[in-house]
Amino acid sequence: MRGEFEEVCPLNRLNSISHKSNSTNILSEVSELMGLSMRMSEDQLARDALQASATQYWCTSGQNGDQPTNLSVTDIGNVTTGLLSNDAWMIFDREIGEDRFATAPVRDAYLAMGHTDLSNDLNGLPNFNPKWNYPNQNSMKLAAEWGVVNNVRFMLSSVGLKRQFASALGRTVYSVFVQGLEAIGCVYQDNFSSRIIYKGPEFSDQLQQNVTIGYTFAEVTRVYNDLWISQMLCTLNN
Amino acid sequence: MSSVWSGTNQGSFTSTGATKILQIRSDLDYMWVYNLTQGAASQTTAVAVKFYWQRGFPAGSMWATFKSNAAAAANLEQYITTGGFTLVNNTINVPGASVALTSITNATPPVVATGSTAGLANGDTVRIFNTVGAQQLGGLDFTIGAIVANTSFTLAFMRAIVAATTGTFRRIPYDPYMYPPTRMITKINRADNLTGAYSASGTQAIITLSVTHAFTVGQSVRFVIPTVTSLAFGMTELNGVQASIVAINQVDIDSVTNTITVDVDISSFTAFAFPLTADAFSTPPQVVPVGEQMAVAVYPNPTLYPNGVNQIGDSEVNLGYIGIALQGGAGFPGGASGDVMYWVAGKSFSGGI
Repeated sequence: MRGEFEEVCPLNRLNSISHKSNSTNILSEVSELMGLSMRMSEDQLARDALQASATQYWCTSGQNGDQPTNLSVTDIGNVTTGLLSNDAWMIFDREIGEDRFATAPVRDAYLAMGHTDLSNDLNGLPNFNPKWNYPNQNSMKLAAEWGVVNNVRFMLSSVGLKRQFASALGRTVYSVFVQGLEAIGCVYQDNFSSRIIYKGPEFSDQLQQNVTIGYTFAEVTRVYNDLWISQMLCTLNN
Repeated sequence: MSSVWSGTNQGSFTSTGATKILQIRSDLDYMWVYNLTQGAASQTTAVAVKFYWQRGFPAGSMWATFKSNAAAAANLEQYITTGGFTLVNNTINVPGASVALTSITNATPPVVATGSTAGLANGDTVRIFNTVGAQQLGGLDFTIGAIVANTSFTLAFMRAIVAATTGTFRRIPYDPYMYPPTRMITKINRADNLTGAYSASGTQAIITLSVTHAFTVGQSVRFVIPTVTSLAFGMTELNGVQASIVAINQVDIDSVTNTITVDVDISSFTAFAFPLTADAFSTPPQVVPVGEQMAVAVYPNPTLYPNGVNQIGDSEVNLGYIGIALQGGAGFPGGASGDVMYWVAGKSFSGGI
């Protein structure tokens, strides 16, 4: 922030003078970044809470000889069967097929969240249908969505969970959280979820040269029903 | 944009002789530690009594001031690269270096032979890899017990296995920082209904876990017992069963106490058995925390728990922290057992490494 001020007023080395006339744009930008930071923190805390307490399923039907193995359609089917048998509702509705080249209908599906490193392995799976081949491109797709295998739609993120040196052969192990409707949720505490805090220079610094900006949130991710979520552990196929 | 905080935190502790971890949420850039006990005592050989660390020092290093005689003259200072201070962030999951193991015995508990036990301490967690034999342990975590320096350590809570030869292991210096975590099962046996301890004629179940657990009485858990062969993991009747923990840390069949006892009558169940190395691998058997059984938490076994138990033991807790680890022992900043240690940790306004 200080750099921004000096750039705006290069002859003025004290930010207290330039602050008031330039604060709005800068605060907007900073607030936006803070919001992004807060949401990413929420995601990572949720991810780590699920890592700790969600039931594990180790892939065994891949071909890389490790334990857990790489992803396979059989393993995805096993997890799907487990969730179905536990009466987990699917999250996504079906998409009916349309008369368009290279598209295919999409089944009702559970939601899976994993790491972007898995994108190549997913591409190579039988029955994998990338989201670009869904029948209706006008319906909203999540930016993170990669595609669908049978009844599981995969969302990938660079902050998905992976653990170094965690397989029997020392490979990185990835957690893919496959879940049904209302398997997990967020509990808000102290009657609020999150808030951005801003204190102007007159309240932050005796010389009014610095401001205070930050965020707090009081919420926790919990598994509501352990039968409706499975932490599918896998390695990569190379 | 950032909020600059500068100032100090301070405190004291009486050393147990083990490495001391101080959780310092404000972070720190420098630290002083004073050993009052040794500073007040006459010394016949030089011993470090004052320690300094600053951000940028390599992990484990320190600047130490020694006291060498009864005149209390601090007449020696030295920069030392081991046995000092190490920053800690328990939310970072980076395993230790790969170390070769030469065998795993068929003893109870199994003994892992290795040429290097550097950095290991009783109670640490290790992960086993690439074993010739004992492949059923591959990728799994175990708390270690007795250590013979640069010779061996035990897998403290594991049952006997068929002996294995070579492989590797890594120290796992972290646990999921979100409580409660799942745990892997190594044994399931019958337990006495009153004491919760192992009893061949009991009807409850005592479950031994591979890594030190933090379950509490009253917690509700679900079991995952996969089927690998006709024998392993056995006890298919328990798969998917939800149960309440009625006792913790009672002795199991091998006198191990990293256990939970649950209110499930397993007297007619098939036996639990770990697979053999040649068996196909599967998901390991697990205890998954799913909630709280308030009836058990409010009215626990009065003999075992006359003062009651934590009734919100299933609460999700973020145990993540940052801080610094002070190496324990004589001449180190964590001190020897009984030493009274005072410390000051500071955060600088500006500067860096």
